[in-house]
Amino acid sequence: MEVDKGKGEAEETRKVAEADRDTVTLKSSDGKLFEVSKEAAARLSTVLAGMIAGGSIDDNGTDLKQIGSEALENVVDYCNKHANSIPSAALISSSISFNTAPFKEPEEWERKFVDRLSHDALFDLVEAANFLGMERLLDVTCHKISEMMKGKSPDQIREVFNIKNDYTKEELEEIRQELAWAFYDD
Amino acid sequence: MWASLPCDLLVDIFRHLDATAVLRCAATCRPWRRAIIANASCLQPHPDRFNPNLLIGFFYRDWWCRYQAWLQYVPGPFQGLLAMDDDVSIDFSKHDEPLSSRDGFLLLRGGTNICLCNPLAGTCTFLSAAAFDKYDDGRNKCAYVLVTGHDYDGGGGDSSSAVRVLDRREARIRHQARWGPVKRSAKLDDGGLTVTKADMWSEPPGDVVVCHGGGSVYYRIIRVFTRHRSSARLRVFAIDMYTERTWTMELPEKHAEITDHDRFVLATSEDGRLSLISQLRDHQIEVWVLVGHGEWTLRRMINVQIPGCLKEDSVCLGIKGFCPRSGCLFGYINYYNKDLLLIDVNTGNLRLVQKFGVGYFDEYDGFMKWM
Repeated sequence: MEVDKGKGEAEETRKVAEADRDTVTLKSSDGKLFEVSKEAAARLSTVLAGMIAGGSIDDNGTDLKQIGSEALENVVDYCNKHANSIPSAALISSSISFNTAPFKEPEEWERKFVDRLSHDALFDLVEAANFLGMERLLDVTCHKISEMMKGKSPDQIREVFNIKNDYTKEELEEIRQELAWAFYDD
Repeated sequence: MWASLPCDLLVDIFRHLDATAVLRCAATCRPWRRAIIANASCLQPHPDRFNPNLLIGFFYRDWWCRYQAWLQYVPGPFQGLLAMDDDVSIDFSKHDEPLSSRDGFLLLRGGTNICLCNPLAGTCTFLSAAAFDKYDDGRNKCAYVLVTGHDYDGGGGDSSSAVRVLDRREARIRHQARWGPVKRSAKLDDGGLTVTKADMWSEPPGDVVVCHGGGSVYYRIIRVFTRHRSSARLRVFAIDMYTERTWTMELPEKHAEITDHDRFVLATSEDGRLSLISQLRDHQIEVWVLVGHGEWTLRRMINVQIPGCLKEDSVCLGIKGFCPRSGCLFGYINYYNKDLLLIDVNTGNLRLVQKFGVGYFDEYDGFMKWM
């Protein structure tokens, strides 16, 4: 949700007492401003919660130099969608996973949200979620990326993620033999 | 671009994959492979735990050569990745006493030192042993238990490990995160039963940590006397790793009279429950699973047919330990045999693995551990 703020408007905002504002303004690395509900930001991001509590929020736009405008737009979009969604009954993953935290499967809107992203956007978003300490968004994006790896051979994974093969032929052959069961047993 | 993702993000992604897919990713490029090897312990092999390929190796000592410890890798997919032999700063002639192992970590003791090593990543952390560690005659006074962050919060955040010390003599458990201050203690002699010093010595070696939901419980078999000291029995001792609540449980009914601890190994079942593997007759293994409060149910029986052995009766089989990640049970066949028996508890399949470097064996010390 992009907000084009005029200078006057920004001044206007400054007059409103900090405590009365229910949104925070975030500034991407390329200088674009985005507004997001303070409540959602504090609930979904540990980093933003800390900044809000610590009073280091800048009304003119809190600088997030590590995050580009496209990724920040997605982050804000996610926060807004999250605020509007009614949480469904817990869809705990049914696989046996008593050693890891029960992963809550993405909800329908979360799935749609990450599905529409390009690979580049997904990459930027996962880094942004990590930087902002947004646990759920990180979970959902990582899950999406892992879905893109499932059932693929190393060659196919390289192709999907555009990864350069930095193994020598000999090394690859060695790994292939070593891990034969992982490559061919399905 | 994707190859250069920070290591913690890669691990967050790989966490959603099963072991097979993780290994495929390891073959994709060097940075991914490095991230996977360095974090092998927290990339839990779910849902395909009980994967025999996850047994990396075992550590054992020969009864007659107390100062000779052997580390043996089991042939498998990780074999070529292990760094232990070459560039780990650990001297096995000094750190020769395996204390505990879990999730790819191995805890070894050498003198007053304790070493926590990760053979896959080739890293070692040195700690000092607990003050109440040993009796004067060198017997162990306490049991060491490796705990991970998963034991406390059911996964997620903290994947670091710590060492807990169970004091067998004073029957107390001490919580020490990185050898920090002692938290508090809990009593072992629960339910009006006393545990004597002598019997601690003959306890079965098999102890196991079972994780479930948001916590985990440490189990081991202990030998107890009834109040009037008229009879000794084996029971399962349990301590909740988080709340430190302790309790004991009976063995399955028909096992109650057996006091020969060599016949039992504690294990986990494929659906994550405590299970008891018992060997009541020479070639028959039973797998019992704990359902509900102290109730056992027989899950399967395995008839051990030693490959290449025609005269079954002349073979002596002994069960010794269990590896939770791979679902493999260790055993030996005959004292002098050069092979070690690995039994896939899930399927009953047998595998023979050669013991390493030693020509003559009498009996295991009971410290056979897994990684």
